[in-house]
Amino acid sequence: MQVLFATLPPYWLATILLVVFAIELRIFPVAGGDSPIALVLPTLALALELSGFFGQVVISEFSCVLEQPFVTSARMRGMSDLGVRFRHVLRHAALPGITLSGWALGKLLSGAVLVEAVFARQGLGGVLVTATSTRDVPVVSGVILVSAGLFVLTSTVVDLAYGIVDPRIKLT
Amino acid sequence: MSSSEVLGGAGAFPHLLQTLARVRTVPLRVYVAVTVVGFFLAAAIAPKWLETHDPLAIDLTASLQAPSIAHWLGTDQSGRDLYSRIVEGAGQSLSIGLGATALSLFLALVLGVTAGLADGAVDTVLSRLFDVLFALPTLFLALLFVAVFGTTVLTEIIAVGLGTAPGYARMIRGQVLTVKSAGYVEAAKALGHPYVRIVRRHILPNAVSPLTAMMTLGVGQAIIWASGLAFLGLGVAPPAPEWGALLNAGRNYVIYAWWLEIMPGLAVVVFALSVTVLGRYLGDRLEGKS
Amino acid sequence: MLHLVQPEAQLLTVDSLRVCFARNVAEGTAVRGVSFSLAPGRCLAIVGESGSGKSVTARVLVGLAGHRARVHARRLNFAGTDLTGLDDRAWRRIRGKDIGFVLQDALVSLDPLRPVGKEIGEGLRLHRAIASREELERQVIGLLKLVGVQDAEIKALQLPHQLSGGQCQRALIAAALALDPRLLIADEPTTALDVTVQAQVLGLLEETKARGKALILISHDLAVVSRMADEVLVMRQGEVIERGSADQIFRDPQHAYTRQLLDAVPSGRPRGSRLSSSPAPRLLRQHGRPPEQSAARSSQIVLKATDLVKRFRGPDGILRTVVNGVSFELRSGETLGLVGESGSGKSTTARMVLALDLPDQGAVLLQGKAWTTLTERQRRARRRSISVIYQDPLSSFDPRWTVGRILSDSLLGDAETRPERQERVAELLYLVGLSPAFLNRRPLELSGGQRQRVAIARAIAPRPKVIVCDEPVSALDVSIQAQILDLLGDLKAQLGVSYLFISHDLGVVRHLSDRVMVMRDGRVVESGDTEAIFAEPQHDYTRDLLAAVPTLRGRQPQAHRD
Repeated sequence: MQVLFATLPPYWLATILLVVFAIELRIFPVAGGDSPIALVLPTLALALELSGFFGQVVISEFSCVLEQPFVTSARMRGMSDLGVRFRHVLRHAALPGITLSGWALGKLLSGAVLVEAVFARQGLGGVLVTATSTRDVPVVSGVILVSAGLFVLTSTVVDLAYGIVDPRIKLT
Repeated sequence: MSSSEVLGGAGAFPHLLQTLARVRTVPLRVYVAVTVVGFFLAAAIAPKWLETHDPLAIDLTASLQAPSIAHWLGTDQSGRDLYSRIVEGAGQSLSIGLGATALSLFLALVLGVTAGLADGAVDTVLSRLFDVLFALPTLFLALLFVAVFGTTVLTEIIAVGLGTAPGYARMIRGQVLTVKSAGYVEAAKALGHPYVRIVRRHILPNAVSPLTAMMTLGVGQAIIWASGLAFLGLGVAPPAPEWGALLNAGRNYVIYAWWLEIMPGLAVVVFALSVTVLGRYLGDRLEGKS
Repeated sequence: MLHLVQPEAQLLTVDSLRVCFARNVAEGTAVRGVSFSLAPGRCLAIVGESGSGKSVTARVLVGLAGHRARVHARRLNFAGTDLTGLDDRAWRRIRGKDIGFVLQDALVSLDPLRPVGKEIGEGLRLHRAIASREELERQVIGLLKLVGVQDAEIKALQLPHQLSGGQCQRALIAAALALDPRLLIADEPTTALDVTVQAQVLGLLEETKARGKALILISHDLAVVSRMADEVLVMRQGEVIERGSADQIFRDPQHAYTRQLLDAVPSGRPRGSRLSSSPAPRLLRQHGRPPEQSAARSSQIVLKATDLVKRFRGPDGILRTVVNGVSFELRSGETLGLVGESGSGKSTTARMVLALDLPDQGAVLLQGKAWTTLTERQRRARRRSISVIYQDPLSSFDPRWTVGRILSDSLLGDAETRPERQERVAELLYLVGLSPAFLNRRPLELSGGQRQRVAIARAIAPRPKVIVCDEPVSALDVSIQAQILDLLGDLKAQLGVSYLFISHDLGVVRHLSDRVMVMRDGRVVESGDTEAIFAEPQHDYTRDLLAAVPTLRGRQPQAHRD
């Protein structure tokens, strides 16, 4: 399931959501719109892909940590299976997910450009695409610089979060 | 050897797991994936065998038909058979995917191995470069390239190749560093083997062997990125039935003819998914062996 | 053997325990028909090598043999409770509270992301044995003090990687003792610990037993259990080979396998005697070079280290002197033992001798000529005269290569033609006691002992004058260790090489070495002839080390006085 989500191109997913929920079921507006409800489909399209990636990483790490001796050790103290998963394993399994979130931002921005196009939303993506098709290099470079700045910001936040979850970091 | 030594390892349990792992057969999904990839490869090499209609034949009487027995995946605004167009487009899409992956891996290999083997300043500069480029969204890098050089098949391949290279380069550098510090490299050094020989016989083969799996995974990703570019109208121009171009063309008809958008996308997804499954299987196999 | 103890006096009774994994019963049976009983205040030792089923047996007693394990027993009774039909809930009430379990390898058995005190208090919290936070804290600190951890208040707040191996093991034992269980099971509690720390941990377990707890001690090392076991169970391939009182097992073993295990323990055995039952290989067919004139030590110095100093910068940026002024000479045909605990600088010394790390001060002369002062390019041609055997042979082999390729690669420059190489490789395999069938195996397909044999074959391939053995048997089971030690002894006699033999295990070092050097904190504290050092240690530290070595009951450590 996570493999499926992780492989789905966001623009295609966005189109399916558009066809099913906006055109066939008429639950959400087809395109544009300023209401928060218009944001539901684009958000979902972007989120599903990322959830696939994070799901894969967390699950594989989870099963890896479950094999560790300290997990057995906790079980031998009388901790329940569920208790071990929440108190010990989850924290370890979250680490690679946190590391990935910086990279996820890049993925998110790429996806946003495509999804904006599907839902005809005017955003950074729209600017970028128009600039690219008119070969307006300064504007394209500018957008890229903005995204790089965003990345620096996120990775700082990620580092901070990592330090909270993994206290070993403070020492090195 | 006494029989008690046969088990080795740390207890009976890992030994049992090893036995089980050896007995395990190829999973079903791998067979399915091989079939799918085989089909698309056949479509790329000899599309005429698999097409039911002429992909370019315009038939205005049959425009925008939903999927049916006559037209398996429906028809477009000019009445062209969508299934045949997807089969026809496989060649170009796969070439773009393969070309971009090959380019990307080649760049990554050269830069990653250089950074991994070099110590000091060269490594620092290169790995900072990878970090900065990796931080930028893949699509943005590709778009920058397209903005500078315009849209042709070649620029599309180069754009996607450049966009995905930093990630691989980082991976390869890490791999080289790991292998460089492996015990067997030191053992070879202690035996008095020349450095060049150690690099050639130990470091490169061990650092590069995971690339087989990466390459497979990469083709799927590259096709997705390439179709993404085309989807934005920045890829290969229609009427060439490349999958991304089909997706771009379908955008305008989404409301009346969903299949024009969904079906080419499905081709991308099914293909990417299959190579991903294959790549992972290969990766696991290689890991299990080494 | 009859045990005429009243059944109600027993805390634990196990009768005909069988455990199998997976569908294949024939292959997957890990434990077959194990029976024993244990009374409070007694200690049962389960002894066996890797894969003997001893750990699985122990895990059954806390219901954690793994979800694929199928457990059958005629009787499995703990303190009047039948353990056979327990559900997970009932098991949880017993685990930690009535039965404490100490896993081996404390560093990975404690959650690396949580403070040690939290881990210790976890059991108390789970079984609701404490009323308040303050009480929990008090209890945790009390437990840490009980197991002899200094500065308990500070240590409780630290993470496992900030503590030493011994402290981690103590913390793990503290966690197991938290709820004052009636039975404590310790699975290889001292593996990977230095001798002095091992002696302390064993002492701690002994105290626990003296407090009236029942103790199950699991180990591959008979010497370790010898000190406190009342009863011993010897297991092999899932079966109990021999069972009896400790006195009887150590003084008068009945089964050949038990005798073999006992013989394999080098401490207190005459030097040079064979430890394994494998015979010395017959004379070499032709090993290119005639064996050195005599096995006796000639006066030729092959390796000379003068005032070696090595400093490393730690992760905190502080420069530490790891090796501080080490000097020694190694003569042709001689074995120099290098003993020390982890962090004593013995491995760094070895790396400098091999010129894999270069000394910051001092120098090594190889065969009387400059060695560490050369450039790597100049050194390369002469590397053939010194080789190395590592503790972990697996990581020192390219995983993709077959044994045949590994060995012929090590002949580089020695045997030029293909048939020559093949002949040499076959000869090497023969020398280390492996059949030609191993040529096409890969390292992962070999057992630990076989891997070490291949590593030895690779080390002797370039016909070196000196072989540096860095803990070559530390990762092996006792009986395999015995075979490898015998092999090293045989090769030395036949090839006339010199060994720099590094180990933390004094018994092993004593068995093989002509002279011994004791290292601590980067310095040599004592050196001299093996017998002299073991008989009359001059330095306090050497005396501590010797006293800490576990010895087999009924076998007096020769000429060792307290």
